[in-house]
Amino acid sequence: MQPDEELQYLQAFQKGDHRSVAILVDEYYPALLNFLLRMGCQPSDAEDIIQETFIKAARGLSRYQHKDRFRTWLFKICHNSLRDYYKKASRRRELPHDSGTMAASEANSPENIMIEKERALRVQAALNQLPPKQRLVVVLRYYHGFSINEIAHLVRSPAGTVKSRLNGAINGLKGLMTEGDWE
Amino acid sequence: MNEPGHEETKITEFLMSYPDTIPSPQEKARMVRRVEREIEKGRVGRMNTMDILFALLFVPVLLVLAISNGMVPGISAGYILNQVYPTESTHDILLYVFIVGLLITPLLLTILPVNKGGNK
Repeated sequence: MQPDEELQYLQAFQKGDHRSVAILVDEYYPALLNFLLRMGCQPSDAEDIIQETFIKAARGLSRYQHKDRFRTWLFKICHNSLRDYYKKASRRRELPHDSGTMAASEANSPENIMIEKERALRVQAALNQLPPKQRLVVVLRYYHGFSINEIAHLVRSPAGTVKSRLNGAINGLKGLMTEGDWE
Repeated sequence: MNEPGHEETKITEFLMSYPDTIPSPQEKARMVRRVEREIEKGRVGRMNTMDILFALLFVPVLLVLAISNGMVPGISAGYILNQVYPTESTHDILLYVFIVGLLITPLLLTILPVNKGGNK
């Protein structure tokens, strides 16, 4: 989406215009959903957090500074909502999600779907073992392609700290990967 | 021994073996409805504040006009109105406005969107 086009949608989105809401949800819902699932949220909780993210975005749009990308700003809101979620759910340790539709792969046979799910669960299990701050930078960097500076802005930490967390996460993942993963 | 570049590639491959979850059109439509409803609620909330402000201003004005007319003759609104618009029925008009105000205010409060029920 072009920045000018996005700005128009954002203005209409703030007023609850159906088309703009639908376009922005279509554009950002999948990314936010995957971000939250990889951060260990249950799908139902992820939906609530995403809803809250969009509402906060609509209400706080006047505070949005266009020097940032809207995507970065939206992820920042989502990350804050996620932090609140962690505070609420700090006492429960839930298993990674096992629902949703995985992206269509080249061969969609039931066997391949099972293998994909197993792999996903293994990666999720590895991610879950990382400290939340390290998991966050890995997810933002690898799955969502944010730059180090964008992540630093998003998590309100210096770029050096982000790099250090990323290195820590990589080292952690190395230890969690099995023999087969290195072949 | 694994080289750093090779390690990086393998870690990326490992992470990427967790494919994206694609929300179904129904899930997206549900999210659109939820977001629209919440945005609408926010707007209703603002309207509600305006309505209450209106009622808060409207009712005292009516009461002051009506009571001052009957209880404090020196600053009687009826007297002032009689000076400006010398008609015999000013008192009746004020009484009428007061009664209409009493009837309309609960109605105004009743028709406020926030009092219509639904998800709050």
